[in-house]
Amino acid sequence: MLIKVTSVSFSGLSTIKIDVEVNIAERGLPTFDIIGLPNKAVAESKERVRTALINTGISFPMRKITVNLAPGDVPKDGAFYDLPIAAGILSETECFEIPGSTLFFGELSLDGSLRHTKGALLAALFAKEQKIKKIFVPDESANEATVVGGIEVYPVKTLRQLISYFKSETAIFPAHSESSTEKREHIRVEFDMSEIMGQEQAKRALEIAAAGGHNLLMTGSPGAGKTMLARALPGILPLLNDEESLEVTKIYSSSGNIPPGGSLIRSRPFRSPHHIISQAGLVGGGSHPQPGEISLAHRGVLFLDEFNEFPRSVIEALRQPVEDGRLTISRSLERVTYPSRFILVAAANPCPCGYLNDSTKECTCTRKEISRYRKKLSGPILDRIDLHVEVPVVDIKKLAESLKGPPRPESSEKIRERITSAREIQKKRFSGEEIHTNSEMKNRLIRKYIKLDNESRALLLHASKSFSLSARSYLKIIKISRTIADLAESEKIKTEHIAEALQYRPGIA
Amino acid sequence: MKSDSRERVMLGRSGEDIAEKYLKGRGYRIIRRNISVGHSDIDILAEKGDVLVFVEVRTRSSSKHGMPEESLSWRKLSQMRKTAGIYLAINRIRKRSRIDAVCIIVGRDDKVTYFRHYTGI
Repeated sequence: MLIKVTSVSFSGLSTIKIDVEVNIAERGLPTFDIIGLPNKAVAESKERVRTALINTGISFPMRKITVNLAPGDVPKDGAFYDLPIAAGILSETECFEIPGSTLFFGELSLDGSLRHTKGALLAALFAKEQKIKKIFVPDESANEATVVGGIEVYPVKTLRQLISYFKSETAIFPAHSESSTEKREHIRVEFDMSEIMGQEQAKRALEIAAAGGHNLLMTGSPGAGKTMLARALPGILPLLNDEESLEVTKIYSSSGNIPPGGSLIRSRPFRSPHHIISQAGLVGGGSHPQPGEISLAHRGVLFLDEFNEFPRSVIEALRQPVEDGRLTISRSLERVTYPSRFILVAAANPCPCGYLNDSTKECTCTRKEISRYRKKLSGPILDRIDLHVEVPVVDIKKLAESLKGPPRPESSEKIRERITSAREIQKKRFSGEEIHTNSEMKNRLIRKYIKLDNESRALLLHASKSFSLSARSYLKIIKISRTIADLAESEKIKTEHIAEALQYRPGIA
Repeated sequence: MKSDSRERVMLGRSGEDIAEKYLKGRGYRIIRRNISVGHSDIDILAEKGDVLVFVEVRTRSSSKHGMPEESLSWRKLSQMRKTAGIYLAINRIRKRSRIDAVCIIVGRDDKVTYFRHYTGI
């Protein structure tokens, strides 16, 4: 007898439909085979399904069982075919019918219960797209799947429960998505801007970076507060909107980064990989490509501390994703694109000892050492970072005094309000385009949306001559000025905005 | 230990007897039993019509340690194919042939509680 169950296959974030055909033959030696290009995880499904059925108290049929995952030329990966295969076998042995317009997805545990399985959100999105009405997923992955409205998500705890549901003995109630009040979970931030004393220029640079989505490089002595500043950045970024939340959650779901019972991700990602990271770890890779840190930081912040300790090859791999906001990984069997629209925050010491230009300590590096150290940083990647800022050491006397009492610096929430309105202005400006922020503008859009008056143009021309700016630098200054003007809610870019923007370019002091 | 292995042989023999009786009843002509080819052997060699049938008999006294079918691993199957091939070659037989398996559970008092005949495995 042949039973067909619908499931899904992933390639990056895209999905295709898989028909799980379970044939239980009357003739032939008892065997259990899975065909249709299964990888190791899929092939091992055999043992999980067999043991789970036996431990549920069902005698495993001593017949020739063939499972075909069609289409047969698409490589299959993942442990989630357990549930569709088990459902197909059970429908034969326990005599129930699997209703049409259903999708099965989930990994089995040997005791017959279902485990949290990565990719439930993608499976649910696929079901909706295919107009499949019901989807059966592990109980712990149900929250994630309910994010997609318009389909019935059935949370399954055990195989026993599934059997009695299909035999109409007990009911499984479709899971509901959390109400909108619960959704607005409190965003957790490590540092509030009000906790950071001094560092006005760095804070301002962070504000501009957050408002326009610009990348930022901070250089400064050890202990100046670079790391602390970077960690405060997510707190001043506006909350993720629904569309962005879904984008982020999709990436986290596909890479198994959503905890059991987890739901939509509402707070901005903050990723800070250590500098021993491999290239594949940073930008993504593998024979079955997985997202890297840059994609996990999508719509959030990627913080690279000790920027010049990162291997050259790893840093160079950042170039394309920083520019395009996505990265395509090509392998012989598949080609996968992951989005990677993040704010890059890099931090570095000015020299090997760390105390160059420091007011409190003498730098012990030789000229040669400094130039070698700088060379690691130089190159095209530095040119792609919009904002360069120096983080000086905080005066301890001032710090001690400020700890005594008010006035406290502005809170993150207040700064966030300013940034949110600046982002609204940008959203309105680019309503017809595919971009959201000033930093994403390409030349065509700069020409279309940015009009400089004569005075500003003259200033910019003068600056580019005297500082011998590159063409890219020139355009970057325009973009930064636009963001600064948006923060000031000024429609026109004024000379003061350009003057401020010039400060953040390297080689201009 | 010794009585154990003797019991195992006895169980095997009784299983083969049951299988032989069954095959005869289904119109098979039994040619020989327990032919040893090299270091492996063929439990029953039978013939039906013009097809030579190599029969492997698997007997268990209970399903406590798994069903008899489960001992027919991929390795055992390929070994059976090889043995049959060698037998055909050394006896210069040019006939259509196939391999069958008979799986039996003989419970207490020599009662057959399970019997399956798989053709052309």
